[in-house]
Amino acid sequence: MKNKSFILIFFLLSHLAFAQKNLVGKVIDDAKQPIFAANVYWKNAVQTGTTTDFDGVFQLAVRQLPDTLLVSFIGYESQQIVISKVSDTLKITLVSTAGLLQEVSVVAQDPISQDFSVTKLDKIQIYTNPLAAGDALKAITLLPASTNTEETANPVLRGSSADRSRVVLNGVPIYNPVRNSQLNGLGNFSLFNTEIIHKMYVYASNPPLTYGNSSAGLIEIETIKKLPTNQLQIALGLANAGAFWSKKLGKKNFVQVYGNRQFSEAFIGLNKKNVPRLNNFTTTDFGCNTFIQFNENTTWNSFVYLIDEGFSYKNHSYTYEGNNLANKQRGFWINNFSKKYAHSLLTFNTLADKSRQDYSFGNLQSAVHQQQFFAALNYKYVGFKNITWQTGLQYDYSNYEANSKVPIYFYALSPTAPTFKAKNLEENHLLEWYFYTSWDIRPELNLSVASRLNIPTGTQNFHNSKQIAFRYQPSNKHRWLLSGGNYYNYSTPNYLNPKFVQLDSWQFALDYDFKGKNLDFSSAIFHKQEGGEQTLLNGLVSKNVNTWGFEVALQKEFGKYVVLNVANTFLSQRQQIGEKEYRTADDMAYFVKAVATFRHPKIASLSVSYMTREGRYYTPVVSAMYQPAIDTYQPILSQEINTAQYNAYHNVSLTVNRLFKVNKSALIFFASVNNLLNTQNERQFFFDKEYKNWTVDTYQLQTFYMGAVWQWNY
Amino acid sequence: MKNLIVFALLLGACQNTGTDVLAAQSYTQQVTVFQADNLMNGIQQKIYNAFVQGMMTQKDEQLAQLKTDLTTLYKQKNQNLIQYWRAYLAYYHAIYALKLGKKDLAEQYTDEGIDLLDEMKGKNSEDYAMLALLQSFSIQFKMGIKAPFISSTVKSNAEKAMQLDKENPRGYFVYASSDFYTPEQYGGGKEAEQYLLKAVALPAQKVQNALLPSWGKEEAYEMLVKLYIKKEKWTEAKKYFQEGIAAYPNSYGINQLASKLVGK
Repeated sequence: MKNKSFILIFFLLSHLAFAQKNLVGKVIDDAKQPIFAANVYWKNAVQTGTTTDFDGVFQLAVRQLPDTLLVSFIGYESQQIVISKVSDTLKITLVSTAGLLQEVSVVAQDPISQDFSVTKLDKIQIYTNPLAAGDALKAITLLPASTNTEETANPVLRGSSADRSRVVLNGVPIYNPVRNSQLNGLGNFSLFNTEIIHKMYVYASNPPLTYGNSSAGLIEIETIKKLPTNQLQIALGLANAGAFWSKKLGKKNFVQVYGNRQFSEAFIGLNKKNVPRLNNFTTTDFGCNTFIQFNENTTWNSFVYLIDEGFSYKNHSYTYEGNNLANKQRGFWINNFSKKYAHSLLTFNTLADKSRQDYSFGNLQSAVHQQQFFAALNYKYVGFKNITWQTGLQYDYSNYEANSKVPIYFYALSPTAPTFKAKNLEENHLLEWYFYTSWDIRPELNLSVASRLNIPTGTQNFHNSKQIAFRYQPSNKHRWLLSGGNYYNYSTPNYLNPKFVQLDSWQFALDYDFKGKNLDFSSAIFHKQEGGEQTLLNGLVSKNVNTWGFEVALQKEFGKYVVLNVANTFLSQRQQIGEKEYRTADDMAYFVKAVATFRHPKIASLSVSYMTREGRYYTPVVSAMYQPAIDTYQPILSQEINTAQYNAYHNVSLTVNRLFKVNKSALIFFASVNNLLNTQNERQFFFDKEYKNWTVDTYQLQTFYMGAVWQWNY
Repeated sequence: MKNLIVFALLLGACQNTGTDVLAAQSYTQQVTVFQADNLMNGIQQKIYNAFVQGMMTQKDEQLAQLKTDLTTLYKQKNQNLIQYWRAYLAYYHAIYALKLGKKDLAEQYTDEGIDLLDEMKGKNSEDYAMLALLQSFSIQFKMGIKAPFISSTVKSNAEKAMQLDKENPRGYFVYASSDFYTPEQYGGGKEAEQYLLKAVALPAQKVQNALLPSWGKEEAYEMLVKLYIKKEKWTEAKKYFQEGIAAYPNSYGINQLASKLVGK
């Protein structure tokens, strides 16, 4: 009986043991934290499984061993473990794929330095920018970092001359990226059609060293990689007629072709009284952007742009008044090849840019041919522990050939005044290597370090640009950027400075952004020391510009349809001329930009902007001395440079547009009034022969512009 | 003794049966057994049921209770997944408020949900999809100034969801949804179809898990049929209606489209 009882108990226990045959384990992450809700299941019985509890613990019934246990959770790499016997609690570590998004960024080709751009604009933001008139480069005008005092589209960032900053399109620099810049208010003024733009990153200072030849700021523009739909656009304005056509080629490839013709007759006819100096202008341009995706990882983009432009207006300089004539033909071709790998991206970008320009004003005549070739090989790699690095070799060749008749005396510009013939043939080979590292120390803290050095050619000196930058973003509401560095670039030649002059700068900037529900705020403090000699219009040579700046900007929404933007910039700027230091023309105690926008999809969009700043400084003419040899009075400029000031600048402008939608097509009407109050903003003075009387040349007076765009998506 | 042997055989038979039952259990069943007291178990359905209950009674007591429970649980456990479900609840709470005509409250709940996810560190594909869903939903409250910008943010977050997990149908659905509801003047209405087709082709969950989201596929079917009805592509509308209704026979959203397809 005893034996029988023993057998029975053994039998029962064995069954109980079998019944309780569960695998118990714990799933943790690489930081040893338990993972809640992870999937745990058998490979050979996918439908049977369990999930972990808050402590990462799971208990899974065992069917048949050996089997493979699969453990997975969102955001972690799945694990497979072969289980041959049930033992003690199993510990399973899942590795986070937090770096995956970084890898995705590589795949998406986002710039490695994107965290350090003060602003990032996409196509819609450009179109809805109240001061942009649909133009990419003008969209930055509203930023406090834009300190352009010349009503042009050429980016002037944080007080540095436009020639120190660079505009980069698809990884290649586009020097002088504007057209007819003096004809403000007529539509697109950069060379870039907004329809082809995907994103634009603005680096107000401390240009990322993935690009060279900039000692101030940088604007990086990327064209679109995906075409949502075929589209045809026809635009007709007071001074412009154009067409734009986008067409898909298969599933992922596409082509965008456009052309515009600008003409002045109607615009001058309507605004005759207020554009007394403008004789005429014409522009014809053509662009073609093609994107081909060979396979999931390999793409090629090609952008061809051709422009033929000409203008004539009455200009003054000192005592001479005459027609200023210019015409220019330019064409460039950009090619971008890109190949993605699992953790890296290889790009090869090229540019061929050629132009010729004829210019005449009084006794100044010049014929300029320029060529630019650029090639860059870049390699970006997402390494371990949230470190991304990028390296590349870039070759930038510039050729400047000018045949000019240049006035001997800067103040004697009449056609009969003496000149000298100047023939310049300048070349610059810029071969540079760079290395850029971006380390996400913690999700909210990033450190970026970069270095860029040239391989000297010709008479170039060796230089090594370097930068360091921190981004601290404790939440999506607050962001701090601290960046500093030493940068080099070469000036773009012109008739005053016909050589490639090396310029440099030391900079630091601290930027802060706050993004609230209805309120955005940003602020920056920066300092720059810019080196390199530049000849000014009055023949003086400026060097060593020292700048301190402070910016503040606010965007506040009022209800659902009204938004107010206000920005102010303080700029203290000194330059060295000779052995002394003087303020620069753009030294400003304030530069206020305020825009109120009302946007209602069923009514209209209306923006009123007001810009005001201190008048620019100039060096007054204190007397004049007759020069009998040339029968011209020579102005005697004050020894104290930039001590006089033009009147304060005020400009109130208005833009309005309305969209009408009919099925697949839309019709957009737009109108604008620039300088609504017709304020006489002093730009420069013109003198009579003996410098006894003068008249004022003003910035643009009140002008009207209007037009319509018809868009058809098919 | 004979009785004992019979009992033992019976027990053995029972245990074997029990093991087979366990082996055949789905995740939900095992988790129910293993984490029976877990608030999170079947949370998506719990939130939906609370929402339906609220609509029927015009009182949001159950939603409010769940909100309190999830908030308490988050304070104890500090898990992103709980935050995710708080945001999901905020979404349904907003729909509830909107249906009752309380637009300001709906906006407040939506913003609460967005804030929960916006501030979340280490977001995964599901978190980005949910964030995009809430942001997309918020567009109706922000018409005017912010609409075009929110739309691009929605697409950007939905893209992140898709990039982080190419097999997450919710990323595709939210992207499509944003495009579907974005006015054409702001660039909408061009990509919805392709993304909806992708969403319905994917499984709602790669592995059945009662703690994780499974929404999106049903909604994608509904939107796809609506899209084809709008475009008057009746063959496609009927095809996806049938597919949708086969997969989700109790779907109110899909079912209510039937009347629009009759006779087409």
